[in-house]
This record gives sequence, structure tokens and C-alpha cells, in this order.
Amino acid sequence: MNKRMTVNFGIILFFALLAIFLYNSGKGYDLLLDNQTVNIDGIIFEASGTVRVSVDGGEPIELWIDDRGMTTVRGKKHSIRIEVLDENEEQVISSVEKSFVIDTEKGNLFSIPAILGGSSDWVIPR
Amino acid sequence: MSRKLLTKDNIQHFGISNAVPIIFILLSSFAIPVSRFSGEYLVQEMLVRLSRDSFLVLSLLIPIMAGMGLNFGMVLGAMAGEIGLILITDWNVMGIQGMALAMIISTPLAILLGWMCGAILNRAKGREMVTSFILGFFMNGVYQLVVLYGFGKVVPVRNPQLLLSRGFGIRNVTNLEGIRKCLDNLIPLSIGGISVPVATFVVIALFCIFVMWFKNTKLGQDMRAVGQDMDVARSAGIEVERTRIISIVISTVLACYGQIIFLQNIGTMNTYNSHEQAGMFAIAALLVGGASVAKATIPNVFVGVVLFHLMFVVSPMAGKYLIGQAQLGEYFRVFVSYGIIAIALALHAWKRFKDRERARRALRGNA
Repeated sequence: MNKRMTVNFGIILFFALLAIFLYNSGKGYDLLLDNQTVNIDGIIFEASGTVRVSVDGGEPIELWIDDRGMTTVRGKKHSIRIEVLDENEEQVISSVEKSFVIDTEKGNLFSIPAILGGSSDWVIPR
Repeated sequence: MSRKLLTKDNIQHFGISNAVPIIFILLSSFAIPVSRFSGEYLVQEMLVRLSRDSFLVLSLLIPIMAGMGLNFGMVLGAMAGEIGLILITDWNVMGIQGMALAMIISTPLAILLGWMCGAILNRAKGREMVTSFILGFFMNGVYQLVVLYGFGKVVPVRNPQLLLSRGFGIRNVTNLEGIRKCLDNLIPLSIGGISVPVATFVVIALFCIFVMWFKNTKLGQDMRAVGQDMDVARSAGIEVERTRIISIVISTVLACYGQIIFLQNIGTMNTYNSHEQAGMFAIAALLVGGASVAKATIPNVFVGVVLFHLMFVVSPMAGKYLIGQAQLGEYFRVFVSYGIIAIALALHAWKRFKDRERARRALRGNA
């Protein structure tokens, strides 16, 4: 293999790797944020009130009880912050922050009550 | 007497060389007050259109340098770019990553199409423009066949929003919401309420630097030599055919990137005819800027984009206020873009005749 071919192969390899990186970091995923009572492995997680959900520090989405919202994220690693609001929907009573990696086989429906209830399986299939 | 003649001759030469921009400046100075647009609005529009179109127009410079005239074959590059955009939309790759990925995917396709175009143009020396124009129509048919029948059947497409209801073929309109203005808004800047797409201008500036650098490279000098006289260049040991192919390949690849930048700004793609307009408008804009079939510079690009799009913006409103019909302005747009190419080609032939006459007169002296 002469020098020219090595350089050409190197360039192609570089762009192939760059394309893979761009695909992984730029792929968009729709996440469904669900504030409904849910039963996971026999444990019931009750929706307790209005929550304010923000993914990656983005614009917060307010979800009432039995409400469902959607957000689109780019890439696989993210964080979610949930703030539970009081009855007047003004003061934050408590907040939870979690990091997660998107696994498309696991599902894209995020159960807010399950996150607040401390469950480890809060991503459920649609 | 002879000095007077010389001055008259100079003025005539200047007038012929810059006839198209002069016509446009006169038309604009008449149409702007009639349209009643504010200065702020026009500045914003011109900035948007400069960022949107300059890259496409700049891609025409290198083939002109190589003496191949206006590369109507740039639509081939635009088609390659659109295929990249369809794929990233299907894969839902968003933002600047999506745009860069579309560029990477479409580059090999643009190189292949450019090489094919260059090889064909080498067999049609002296008739490059009309050949590339017709080649654009031919490839448009191939593109439509691939996108209408190949996508969803041969090329896997999973996104149901992209596919026609029959299960294959891409819909008429492709939504590029995922990458909309991703480059324009990468570095947000607003001056006095006017938003400036800084990142896009940085990319365009880099391209201008590339063009200036390229002109001074060995390949660039070879292209200029080929552009001036192919036989002399061949005698000097330059591989004329190869050099011409490279110039078209570079132009096609850059047109591909230009189309991607153009469409990220628009945010939606007319799947089957976005590329058709790309070549025509880019060439018209370059000619309006004072370029000719044989000579084009970077300032021609920016002057042309501003003047051409200024007419585009003001003519519908000017038409509306002048005779009560905005439709007149719309007709005017089409008339202008096709008409200006015809005028520029006619002027080019006339200028060549006049230049020869001037050269003869200069040789004869006062006698």
C-alpha cells in the first residue's frame, strides 16, 4: 500500500468515524413525560400533584395529574429535573434530578410518579 | 480629439462591462421608495439572503476560472445535498450535527456527479454551458426516479411522515424542522433589532479565503492557464482534461454544501424542484453582480446577491403600489432571473467583439 492510498484510506476512515459520532450525538428522540398513576412490577406509584419537568435544563413543561407531555432531545445522555408544585401551583415543594441514557429498546415513556417514588424502572414501553 | 475619443471609449467600455449592475441599481433606486419598505426591514432581508445564497453563488467561481463558463451543472450538487437532507430527516438527526452529517453523506455523491459532469463537458468543449444546462435536466429525471421509486424500496426509509401513503417514494415537501436555522442561530447576535447569522457568515468568509488561497495554488494557476488557452496550457504540460474535471468536481461539491446551507435557512424542502431554481438564481445573481461568462470575482458574488434579492424583495410591493397588483412583481421576478442571463450572455458576446476592436485600435495607434 503506497503513501497516497494510506492517506486516502485515513481520510475516508476519519469521515466515517465523524459521521458515526455526528449520528449518535445528533439523533433526536421523542420522550413522553407521563404524570399518571402507574403500576410497575406490582407497586403502584400515585400521581401526587402538578409537576414542572425540565430535560437538560430546557424550557420546563408543566404537567397536571393524569397529564402527558412530550419533548424532543438530541443525543443519548440527558438529565431530567422534576419539581413538585404545591396546590396553588406556585411554590416548589420538592425536586428530583436524575441522569439517564436513552435506550430505544426499553421505551420512551417516562413515568414521573415512578421517578418521584424512587423506582429504578421509570422508563416504560409505550 | 484623440483624448476625447479615448475618454468616450473608456466610458463606453465601463458601461458595457457594468451594464447589468447599473441597470439593477437604477431599477432598485426607483423600486425601493415605491415599495415603501423600511430601511431596517430591507437590511434584515438582505442579511438573511446574503447568508442563504452566497455559498451557492460562490461555488460558481472555480469553473469560470477554468474557462468552463457558468456551471449550470451545479444543480447536480444541489440534488446530492438534498439526498443527504432526506436521509438525515429519516434518521431524525437534528441540529448542526444533522447538517454536518448531511454534508458528509452527500459529498461522495456530489464528487461522483461532478466527475461525471466534468467528463461529459470535456467532450463538449466550447459548449459547456448549454451541455451542463441540459445535463441538469437529465439528472433531474434520474433524481426524480430515485427519490420517487427508489426511496422506500431500495433505500430503506422508516419515517412514515416522509413516505408517500403507498409506502415508497418521498412526499412533495420534506420538513427540515430538525435542522432549521441551526447554522444561522449557532452564534446569536442582534444589532439594533437586526439579527445577524454570524456562523453562516463565518463559513462564507472561510470559503472566500479558500477561493483566494486556491487561486494561488499550483492547481489554481493550472485552471487559470486552462481558462485562458487550452492549447497553450497543454503545451506547457498541464493535464487540461483532468484540471477541468477537478474544477467541476469542486464546484459540484461546494454547490451541494451551498444547497444544504440554503435549505437549513428555509427549513423546508420542495423535494422535487428545490434544486431546479438553485442553479438559475445563483447564476442570475452572479451576473447581476457584474460577472461575465469569462470573469467572476468574490465582490461580484456579494454585489450580485444584494442587488438581485433587493429586486426580489421590493418588486412585488412596488408592483402592488404602482398598479395595484402584487402579482406583477412575481412575474417580474421570473422575467428578471431569465432575462438577466440572456442579457449577460448577449453582452458578453458584444463585449468580446468590442474588446477585439479596442485591441485592434490600440495596436494601430493614432493612425
